[in-house]
Amino acid sequence: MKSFITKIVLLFFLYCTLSFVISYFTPYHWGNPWFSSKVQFLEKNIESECNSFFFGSSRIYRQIDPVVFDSTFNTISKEKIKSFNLGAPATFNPQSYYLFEAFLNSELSKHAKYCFIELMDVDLLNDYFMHEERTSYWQNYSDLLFVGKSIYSNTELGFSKKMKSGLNYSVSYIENILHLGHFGNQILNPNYYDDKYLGTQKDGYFALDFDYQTTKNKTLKMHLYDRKQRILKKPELIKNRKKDIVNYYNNISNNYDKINLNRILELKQKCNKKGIQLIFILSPRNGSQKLLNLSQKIPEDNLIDMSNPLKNDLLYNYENSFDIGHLNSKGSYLYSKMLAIEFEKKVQTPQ
Amino acid sequence: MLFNSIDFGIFLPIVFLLYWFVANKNLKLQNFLIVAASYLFYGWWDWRFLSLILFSTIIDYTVGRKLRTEENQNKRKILLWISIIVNLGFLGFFKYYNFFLDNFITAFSFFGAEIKANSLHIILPVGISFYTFQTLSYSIDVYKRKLEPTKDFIAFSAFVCFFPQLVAGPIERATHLLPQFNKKRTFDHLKAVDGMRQILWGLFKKIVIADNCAEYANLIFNNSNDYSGSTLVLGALFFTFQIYGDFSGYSDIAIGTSRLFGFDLMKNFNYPYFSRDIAEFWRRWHISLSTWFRDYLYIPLGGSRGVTWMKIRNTFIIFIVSGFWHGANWTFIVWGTLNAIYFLPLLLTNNNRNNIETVAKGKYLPTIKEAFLMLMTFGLTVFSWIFFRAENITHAFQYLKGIFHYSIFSIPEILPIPILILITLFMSMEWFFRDKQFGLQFDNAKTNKVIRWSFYLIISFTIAAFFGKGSSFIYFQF
Repeated sequence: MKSFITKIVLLFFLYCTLSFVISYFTPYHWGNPWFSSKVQFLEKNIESECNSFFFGSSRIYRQIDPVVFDSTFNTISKEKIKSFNLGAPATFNPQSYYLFEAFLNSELSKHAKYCFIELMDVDLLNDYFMHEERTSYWQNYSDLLFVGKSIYSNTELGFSKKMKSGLNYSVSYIENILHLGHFGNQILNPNYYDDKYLGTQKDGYFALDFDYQTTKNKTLKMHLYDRKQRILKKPELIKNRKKDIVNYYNNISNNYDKINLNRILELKQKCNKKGIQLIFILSPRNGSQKLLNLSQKIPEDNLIDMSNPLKNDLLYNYENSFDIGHLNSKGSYLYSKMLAIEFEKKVQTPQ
Repeated sequence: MLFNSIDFGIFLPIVFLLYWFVANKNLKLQNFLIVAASYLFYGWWDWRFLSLILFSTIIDYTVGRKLRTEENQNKRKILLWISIIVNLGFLGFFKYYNFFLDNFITAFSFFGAEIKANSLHIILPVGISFYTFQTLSYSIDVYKRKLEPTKDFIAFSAFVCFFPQLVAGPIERATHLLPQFNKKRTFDHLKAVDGMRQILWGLFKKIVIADNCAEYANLIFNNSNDYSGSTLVLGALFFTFQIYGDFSGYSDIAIGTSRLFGFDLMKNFNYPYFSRDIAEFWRRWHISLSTWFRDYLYIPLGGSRGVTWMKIRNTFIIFIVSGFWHGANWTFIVWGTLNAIYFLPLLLTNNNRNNIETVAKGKYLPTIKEAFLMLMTFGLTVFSWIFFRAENITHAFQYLKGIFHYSIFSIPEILPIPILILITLFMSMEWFFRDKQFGLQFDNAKTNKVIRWSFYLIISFTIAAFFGKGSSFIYFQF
């Protein structure tokens, strides 16, 4: 028995050692094909000298058009920027923080002057995303602690939800250490990293309606079609969301995620040291009461609030929508323009 | 609980340690632990159906005890029929009720009569076809006085619900497995090491081969109208490897897990895709089910003895029943019939036992004749799997129509080269180990330790790479 258990332990030890070696030699972004393809593109085209970068989920990737953003900003400001959209679908908090921090430590951040991150609540990691390479590749001990503290301090969550979420994160963390479910996609799919993720203008922006029109992936097309159909059948869904968000603005309170705020302030400090102005974007149609409460605690220079329907009514119009939570290319054009104007006000504010 | 899940990865070491370190001195306690672990294993999926297993266990245990003391032949027959009716009754209700109802209605409407009956929303209890056959074998063997009925209810319960083979076999005979629960088990190092290797190989078959092939097989079968003949051929090939990897992978994990606990289960697959004729294929594919039908159906019907029409009748019965066992769908019946048609010429010309030995034994490569025969048999098998996989008979024929089209000569629209490479490597390994119990059974004396361990690590990393999709085993539904 002793010999048998020794052999099992030895095999496990060898496995873990090899896993560690593999982790050491893989780039920090390898499991997020959208983000990874974009970083690879930037590394190959380092001379492009982008100085502004956007980070976040599909609300960044599908809605912020760097061409429109840059031209609007460069027209009204003395500063000149060249931006790149590093947003990727389902890249939630804290994966977005993880990617951003790793980006700050990379060569690409050398030219960075402005960085934008989508402001998000800490994701509770539901079962739908479990056992996916994209969910586990970035998991690390410090983010596990961050998530654990945030979930623990969340008074709105019940005990079972907290346990479930904590367990899901822990399982994903172990999956990352042991590389469970990793690299299979890369082995099977030669187009795992693909320039198509860069969008039509190779600036990282890819509107949902462009993707819908051009994709050859039947499953994705069906999925996008269903999302479009939902608001077509029930246009009141957008109105209801708008109403909810207006209500949030009427009920701002002191109930916010303090752990998330600390992390935000830490990120701000790191950026200050590197001479980068960090700006959090509260996206239109995004959010919760708690997230809005949190946004109120972020220093003004570091926040652009595009969520308020009373100020940005156009971003809640049916004609500018792709689905309930996302703008179409027309809406994204408007949004990128409005964002640039708001940003110009922040740049003018002395640091 | 799925073998290819993290849950099982936690469950197995805990049960293993409790079994050998806490319960090791007491046989009854070990058996009790197996029963408790098995109920937990099964209840993880749906605890409500544990009552079915418990009920079957109580019925068959009681029938066995009564058969021991009962001398009156008529009463013995009644007892046997109670066991058969209860077990097949459950199976019939959960698996075949809607099938018979639908066909009954269709048949009547064909003659112009309208019958209104509602189909029931019935959940098929996982593994019911497997444990039902296993307990039936006990009652039949006790009835035939081939086996002394056990007095130990816990040992009998452990035999019925033994978790490694509870939900998808191998379907053990009571004469083989039950006595193992009454003998003291001591830890056997070599057996455990072999068990681990077999688990590893089983996981490779399921996670790397079957699950990846499934993705393409499902894509092509579900959209068969959109693809060329050559793609449809590829789809059938993917399903051929999916079902083999899935089911034989499950059997390997089951046998390997049992070995960790000191049990020997029967071999369920013996490299069936290297068969030179259909008779050989059926001696190598799902052996525990084929031999069950042989012992409890084919031989009682007269087997291959008697006049020609009897042989033909018995062959059709066994293959059709075997097909129907797989599911309540005409596709399975056609699949069984097709195999009977393949098999009959061999039986009638007395050529059904030509190929008993492993192909090209002691050689690296087969002869041209052997390769040709293997290819022919493989082709016939692939053809029959189309019926097995199709949604219904119409779909199967449409699929075949799509294959026999000039587009069969075009380049397939879907050509996942990495998967084809994986399948080729997998089949090469299987070929290399074809005279062993399973595809990773190194001869420790002949193979360098570094090579063996490198293989274990490569296989482990490949499994890890494709781990996490968590798809269930096809045979759970049968």
